[in-house]
Amino acid sequence: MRRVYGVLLVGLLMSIPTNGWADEAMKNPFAGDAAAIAEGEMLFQAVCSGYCHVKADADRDGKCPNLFDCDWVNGSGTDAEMFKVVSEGVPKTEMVGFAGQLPDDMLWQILAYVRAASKCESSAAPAADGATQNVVPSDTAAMPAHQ
Amino acid sequence: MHPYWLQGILVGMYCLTLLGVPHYAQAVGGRADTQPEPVKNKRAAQPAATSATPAAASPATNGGLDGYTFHAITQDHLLKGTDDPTYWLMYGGNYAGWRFSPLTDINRDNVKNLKAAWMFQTGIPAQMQASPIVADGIIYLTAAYNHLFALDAVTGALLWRYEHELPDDMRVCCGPSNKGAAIAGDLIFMATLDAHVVALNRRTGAVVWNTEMDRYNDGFSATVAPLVVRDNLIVGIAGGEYGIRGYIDSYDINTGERKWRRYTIPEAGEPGSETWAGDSWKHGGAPTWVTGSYDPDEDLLYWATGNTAPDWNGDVRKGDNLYADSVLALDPDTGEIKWYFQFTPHDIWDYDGNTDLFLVNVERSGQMVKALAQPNRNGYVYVLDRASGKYLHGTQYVDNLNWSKGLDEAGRPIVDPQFVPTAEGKEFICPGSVGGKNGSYTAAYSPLTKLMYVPVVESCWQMKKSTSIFIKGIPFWGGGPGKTQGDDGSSYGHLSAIDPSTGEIKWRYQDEYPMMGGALATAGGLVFSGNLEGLALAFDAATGEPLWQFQTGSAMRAQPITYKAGGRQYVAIPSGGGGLAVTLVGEPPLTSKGSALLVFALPE
Repeated sequence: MRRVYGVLLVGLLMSIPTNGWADEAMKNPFAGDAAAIAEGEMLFQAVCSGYCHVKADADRDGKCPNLFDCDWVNGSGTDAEMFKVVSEGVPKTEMVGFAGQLPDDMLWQILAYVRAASKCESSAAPAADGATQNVVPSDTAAMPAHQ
Repeated sequence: MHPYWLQGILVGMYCLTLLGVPHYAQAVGGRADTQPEPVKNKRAAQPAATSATPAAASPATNGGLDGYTFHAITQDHLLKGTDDPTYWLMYGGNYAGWRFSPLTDINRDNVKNLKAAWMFQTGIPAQMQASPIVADGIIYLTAAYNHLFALDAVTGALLWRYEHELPDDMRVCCGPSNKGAAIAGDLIFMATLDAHVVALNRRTGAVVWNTEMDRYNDGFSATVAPLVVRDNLIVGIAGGEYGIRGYIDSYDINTGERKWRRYTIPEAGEPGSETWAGDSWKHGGAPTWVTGSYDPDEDLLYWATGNTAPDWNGDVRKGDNLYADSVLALDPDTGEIKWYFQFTPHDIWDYDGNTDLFLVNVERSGQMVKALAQPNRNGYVYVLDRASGKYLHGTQYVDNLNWSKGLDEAGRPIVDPQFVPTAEGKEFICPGSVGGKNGSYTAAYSPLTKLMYVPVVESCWQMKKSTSIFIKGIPFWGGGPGKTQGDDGSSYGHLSAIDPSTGEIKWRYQDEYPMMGGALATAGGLVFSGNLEGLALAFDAATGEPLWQFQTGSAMRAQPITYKAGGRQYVAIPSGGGGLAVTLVGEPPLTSKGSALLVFALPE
């Protein structure tokens, strides 16, 4: 069933016209920038971690999706899709859109940290080049985490 | 996680939305324009044939519940509390918050014969945290996700049920819990996870009024059992983990109109605002999610407040941070603060100060003093003069406490700087952030033994401090737990009988796991509670001797009550584990989720 949804959603996402901003070629301007990644780690800790997402080296699981296993729950994991998720949020979840809350540069720094700290399973390589991969709404993610 | 059935619906919705099908937000999420009608049991609660007017507008009708005699619940009923043991009308049983019943039919001699009379399954397998209430032979029980059930108190028959329509993106830090309903006149009240308060016709479950307290997506939610004082419905708010500015509200019981709001953090220029650096007061927390107490003689409402925000990093809010982690004495008709006492100034441990507030008489130098006693989350039991707020004494009730070296003469903790959150978070700090004694469950007090019965968590935690940026509607923690003793299995718990006059622990029952279920004391010489392994337990109130147990099948996180119906005493014990706190303090590895009310009686 999971695979069926995956195929369905991949197809749907591919058929959705992109908005002007959602340029699939959009790249993280801070990719690989050590200073920006360090800043991004601080920002991740301040905004994203502790209670919801947890850091890559956390002592325990968070209640929200793990962002460091390259298993993307919302979007395809490309730079453009990651930016879209953090900017616009995920409807019907606690994932708010941070556009207007934090400057774009800060969002990119956070994403640079996520990318740099990710440890991917062999079957789920990073998708920095825009390749579509797992967009399946898993059993646990994309759902509001009420407990 | 949602229940599986809801996950299925949501996955379906997700796909339908992408397919362009008009989405189903009103079916399972979003706010419908109209409230859902309660579902009645068709055999027990057919609408009365003689009632042509909507039940909500006609309190004289019985909504089809023939055979029940309804008495409008008045202030006199509330003042009497459990002195009339056919009623259990508020979270604490009486205004003094005792969770005590004068019933003696079930007692220390015969409790071993206690048997299950009936059981009600809510069907909502998530964190059961409520105290049922009882009036005129009907139990009103809330369950997770704001389900409310009316049950026959003798047979357990379901009379009607109400499900509050909730959005999918609620801001609930620690579980979808609810602590119970309140009652006045012909209405049942419930605070909701989307920060509303609803009033239902107690005979039919029909919505009479529905008032929004605040915007849930700004971080507000409500889990508290409201408290009625005259025509005031007193309701607290949750959201201390989201950087809200806390408050206590009063709503007119008949109309739902807000009568007053008392912010628990003063704004700039008000007394106490000097205890907040800059404008940190705007997002400083101090929620109010535990029901308070009321002294009719002093006409004072006592309500305690929770943690500061951000929880584990106080750098941006230098100062004592009034009135977080405090108890406030308020005029119930205006919300005016008469006095306050702060338990944990400048909290950086997440030691919410909102636990039970017992109105008791204590002996001081041969004199009886009208006091307020509270087993606080920070590991100390505090006793205050409840007329003035003056600190009388404080004593440690947990085994493990290192964040403070003691209390000074004014009751202010002497902080040990070694045991504060740091970036590395290496030290294990005791108690951990859950306490001590957590506000999600209740202790009990018996005026016969003059002891408080306090279920206790012993679980030290590493606490990590980090930077924090306030953004409305997302968690504002400034850190979080590192490893806890729950991780290595060294957490444990106990039920401690504490004399509030001295702080002396008279007896203690120790459990392998933290104890996070509520307590009940009776004149039958009994104390009821339960553990995370699912055992409902009864003890001799004088000695602590275990006298009875029953495996309920899920962890005990809720509040037992007792009542008399049809001439027979019943003990009603909700069961159902879950929530963030138990996973952090350490729960039994094979715990099953559940949500049920088990009701016990002696054989007829």
